[in-house]
Formats: sequence, C-alpha cells, structure tokens
Amino acid sequence: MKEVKEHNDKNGCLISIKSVKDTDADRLYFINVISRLSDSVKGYSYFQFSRPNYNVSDIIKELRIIQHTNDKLSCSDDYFECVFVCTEISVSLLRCLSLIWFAFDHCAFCLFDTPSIPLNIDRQSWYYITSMSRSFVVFKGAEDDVVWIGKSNSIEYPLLVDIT
Amino acid sequence: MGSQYDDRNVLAMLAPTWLLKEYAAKSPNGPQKWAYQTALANQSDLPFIASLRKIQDAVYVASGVVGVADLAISNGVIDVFGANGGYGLLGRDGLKIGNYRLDLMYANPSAGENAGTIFFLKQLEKGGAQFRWDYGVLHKSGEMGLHSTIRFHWNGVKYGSAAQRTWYPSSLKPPFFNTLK
Repeated sequence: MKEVKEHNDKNGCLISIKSVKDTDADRLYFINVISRLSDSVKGYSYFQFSRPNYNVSDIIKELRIIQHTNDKLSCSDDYFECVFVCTEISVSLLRCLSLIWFAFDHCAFCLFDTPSIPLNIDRQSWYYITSMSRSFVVFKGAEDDVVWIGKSNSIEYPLLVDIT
Repeated sequence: MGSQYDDRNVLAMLAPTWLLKEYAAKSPNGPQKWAYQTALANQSDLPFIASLRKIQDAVYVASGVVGVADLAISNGVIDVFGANGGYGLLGRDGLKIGNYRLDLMYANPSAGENAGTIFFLKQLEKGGAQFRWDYGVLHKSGEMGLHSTIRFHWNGVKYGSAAQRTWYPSSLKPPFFNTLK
C-alpha cells in the first residue's frame, strides 16, 4: 500500500506518494495515477523531462512511434531535455510515460483542464504552473521514489488512495 | 625511446594544476620552471594521469561545493542552485569520466525555489551506481531537507537498489547533515 500524504501548508494543493519504484507493479501503479488525473481534466497535456540516467534512445523512439498528428515532441540531440505536448493520453502513451518517469532525473507532467497551454511554463515550478491555469503537475522532488502532485486551488484530486 | 617517469614526476603531475601554474609563473627561467611546465604538459598528455586529475578535481570541487551548499542553504541564501541558468556548477553537460557523470549544484525547477541536487555521481546505465545528495521538500516531514540516495554494486551484489535512505551510513555521513535547521 502506498502512502499518500497531503501537505497542508500548501493549502491542500500538494500531495506526495511514497514509495513508487522502478518495478513492473509500481509502473502499473504510476500509470493508474496518471490515468485518473488525466480523466479528471479535459485539456492539453504538457510533459517535460530532462537529465536521462542512461541511454534513452529506445524510449524516445517509442514515443515518436505512438505520437499522433497533432502531438509535438521536441528533444535536444542528446535527449538531455525533451518536451512533449498532446491532446489525448492513450494507453500506449501512458506506458511510455511510466518508462520516462524512471529514466529521467527531472520530470514534470502537466495535465491541464483548459484547451490551451499557458506560455512560458518551461522549467517553471509546479506552483507557478498550477497558478497560471487549472491543472495538475506531477513531478519529482528530492526523493526519486516519491511522486509529487500539485494542483490548482479550483480543482479537486481524483480518488487515489484505492489504487493498489 | 619514451620518457621514463619516476615518483617525483608522478607526484608533480598529480599536484593541483593551479598550484603548478603558480609555481611555474613564480620560478625564474631554468630547470625548475621547465620541470613545472613539463609536469603541466604531462597532466594532459598522459590519459591515465588526465583521468585521475579529473577525478581528483571533481572530489576537491564536490567536497567544497557540498560544504558551501550546506552553509548557503542553512543561511537562507536565495537561488542556491542558480549557477549556469540552473544547470549547475559543471554546466549542462556535467563532467563525464568514462561511463560516469558528475553534476553539482543544479536546480530542480518544477519542485520550486531552492530545490535541487547538490551532488550527483551516476553510472550512465540502467540500474547503475548512484551517489546523490538532494535538497527539497521531503515526503515524511513536508519540510525542506536533505536527502541522500546511495546505490552501488559490490562483488556482484547490488546495494541500496532504488530505495531511498534518509539515514546516512556513518562512513559516508558528512558532519553538515546535522546542522540544517
């Protein structure tokens, strides 16, 4: 059972989940979390990830394959920094996101409840992004087995505690 | 016939580059100055000496950086991880030594102000060794704090795995972990 903790000093807008490790079971758990969050918002999704921990060319290749016409993937030549924008999160994308989460040192998955993405959110903090637009931001912090989820004041978290 | 290196040459080659340069600059022209210049040249010409120097420099820098980071964090200095646009003291490319990469003092922008990694030495392969010290909000306390991740292989056995440790093995525990308020 994962420990889901609400951090009250952030007005109930920040929760953390521990411990989510790079195992088959935890990747599935992570997929379920992202799936529930994306189901509760209906807008664009913006994924930024950087600092790969190993050769990630296979993961990026997979991401390019599942990319749809309107999706946009932008990566530096060495895959050090990547940004991916999409309108719909498919099952294959969810699987790929779970691989990305554990392969990169820094990840910020932004799920918006709006039909557009605010400008200049690249390399911004979760609270800046969630204050700009109704959204969830799933990100990594100091502990790499902890999933942090920040949200805007005006939206509610979906039920996450029953995910096993 | 190639040059031979005795202990004195090797010692000179292992001396900090800045020190050799200073001695070379202060020495009058003659054998002493030439010796310093030769040692400096050898530092970059010999691959194994060059690699050793990089590791030494990294350790010197890292030990200083971690101490400075602790001081800066505990004194509430703003933008501790702001060097090179947040990419850290070693820049976007870090320092690569063989299959390892070292990064120092880089920001984790999405986690918010003053969150970042103080020291990260990682083996660039899946499940590879990692030695890492981070600063940011911790799951348990909900407050800013330091966190270490240690993962390594020894005699074919993997220690640490992906588990996070908020304790520090005594042999690896720097004194500054106790000072943060």
